[in-house]
Amino acid sequence: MPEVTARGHRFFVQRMGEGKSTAVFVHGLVMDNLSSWWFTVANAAARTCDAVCYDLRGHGRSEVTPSGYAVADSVDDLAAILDELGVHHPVYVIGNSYGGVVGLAFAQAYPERTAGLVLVEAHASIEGEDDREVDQLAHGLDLAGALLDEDIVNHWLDQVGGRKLNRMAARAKELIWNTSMVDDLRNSPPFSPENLGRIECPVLLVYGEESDIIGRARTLARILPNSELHILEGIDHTALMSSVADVRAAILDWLGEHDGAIDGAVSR
Amino acid sequence: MEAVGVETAITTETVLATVADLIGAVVGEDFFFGEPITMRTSFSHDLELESIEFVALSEKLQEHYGERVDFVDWISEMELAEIIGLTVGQLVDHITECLNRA
Repeated sequence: MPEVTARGHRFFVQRMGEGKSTAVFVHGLVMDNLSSWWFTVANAAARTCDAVCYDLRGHGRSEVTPSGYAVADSVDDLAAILDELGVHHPVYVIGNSYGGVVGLAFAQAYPERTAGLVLVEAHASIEGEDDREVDQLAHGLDLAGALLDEDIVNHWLDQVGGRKLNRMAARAKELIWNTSMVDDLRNSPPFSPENLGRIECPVLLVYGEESDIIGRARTLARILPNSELHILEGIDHTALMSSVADVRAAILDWLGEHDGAIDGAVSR
Repeated sequence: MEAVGVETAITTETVLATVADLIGAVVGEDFFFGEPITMRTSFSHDLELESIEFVALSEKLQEHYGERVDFVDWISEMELAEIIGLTVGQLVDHITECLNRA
């Protein structure tokens, strides 16, 4: 099932494994696509649950649309993809970076469809939490920050060569210059602490100790009533890629503890 | 005893030919046009396959071979460094092994 049409657009979707419970993996912005979850955690999760990965609008092998990149659009895209897949039971949304922002907003918009959330290095903007770095990150979108985060770019440069890099750069430029993504995300409202306080599902926060947004993780842990903060020692914002085994174990163990149908022991 | 007869034997050569065809189908017209794909060709360094293209390739292989070939366990047991260093030969061997086991 490579492609799903949702809200009139084509999304690249990978669904693996079987199980009573569904985990949906959401990736980060621009320099990212579903493969970062597919290669690290999703296939391991698929040993005991129904695992879904998809490319966000404009990313990976999904359609690049001229507009529709607000956080609310990402949430509605996700709901529509789940509808198309026939998934109507509550799901675990597991998001990295911007994917975590989508998860939080999804839990707010569709509490009845959210079994739990895992946020890995998510930069959610929160009203009244005005530390400058995070405000600039505006939901994970900062040309000088998240998009061109030095650590992330260097990590990619280590791994990719000419053809890949050229294609990734062309894709990034297209998204930034030929779509409304930047404006859509800038205009997406921050989360309100009151609404975040109403998210009742269990939430796992996974952040690197050296991450530039570790402060935001502590704030989320304070505001979200049913949350647990897992800090990875000596790790920065690239946690998912630089600390794969630890991130995988933290997520699968947590899923195993919170969901009788998922066996967290497969992480080892 | 081998369950596979001579006429249906799955050989490294036939699997390699299928993998090479499907790589072409995934990467499209700007397909690598240098050396032919061999068992020693590396996905990342020689073919410069993007990771998302590898996902698409594994899906096409799954479609082609069906349930007999397992990717979930295979991928989930690999570390990122192993995946980055993966060669066409390792993938072909894995498929051949699964098919001959099935």
